[in-house]
Amino acid sequence: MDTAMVGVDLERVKRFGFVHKPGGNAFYRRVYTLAEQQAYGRSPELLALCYAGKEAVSKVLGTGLTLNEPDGVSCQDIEILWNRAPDHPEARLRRKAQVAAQQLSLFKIVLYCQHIRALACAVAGGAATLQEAIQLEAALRASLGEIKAYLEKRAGARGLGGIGMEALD
Amino acid sequence: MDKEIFLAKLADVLEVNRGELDEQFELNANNWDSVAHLATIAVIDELYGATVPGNELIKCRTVGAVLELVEQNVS
Repeated sequence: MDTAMVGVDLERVKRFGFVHKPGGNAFYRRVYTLAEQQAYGRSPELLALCYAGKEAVSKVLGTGLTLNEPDGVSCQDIEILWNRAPDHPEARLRRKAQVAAQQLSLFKIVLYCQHIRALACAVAGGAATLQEAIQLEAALRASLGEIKAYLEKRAGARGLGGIGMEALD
Repeated sequence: MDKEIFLAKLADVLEVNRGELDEQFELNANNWDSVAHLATIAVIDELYGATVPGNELIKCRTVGAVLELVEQNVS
């Protein structure tokens, strides 16, 4: 692999409050797998983090996300579950997402997710070897820290310390 | 197509009150994000069992344009 494949995504947590309304039901049931629905319930915080993870991974694959288009990678083709450290979920790839990863000769997808104020932030990268995966884990963890520091500084400069990041979107 | 049910759900997707939503309602960078695109596709699938191409949906700049696209894809 000549170039690192990296994806970053930021989502407003508040945006995911709509899953409690009738218009958000279809999104909830079609975007999240049953395992994700069981793990996260209807928590906007957790659903935003999970969705940011899906987006970041889809950027690594170079596919983007769809719901029901036959040729696209569906949101449910990328399952995000926390089985390890709190900031380090596992991205399970299925169907079209798995095919895309194979075409890129990816050995592993590395993913870090974290809340930064009122945002859900995810950084992901594709590694072709175990050695690359180890290096990528360190790099992505550091980059998440950099993003957090930047957003905190930006919020501080604007005097938004107490009201979250929504105003910056 | 039951436009009223669709618009009520679209209002939830766009985080506005139903009363604010008419065919001239503008879709812009503040309200027409990737979550809104997928959520609108999901509502169309739920209500009509129809698939609307995402690349066409994201080009819509008003709610009226979304309604037209739905009508084109719902038999």
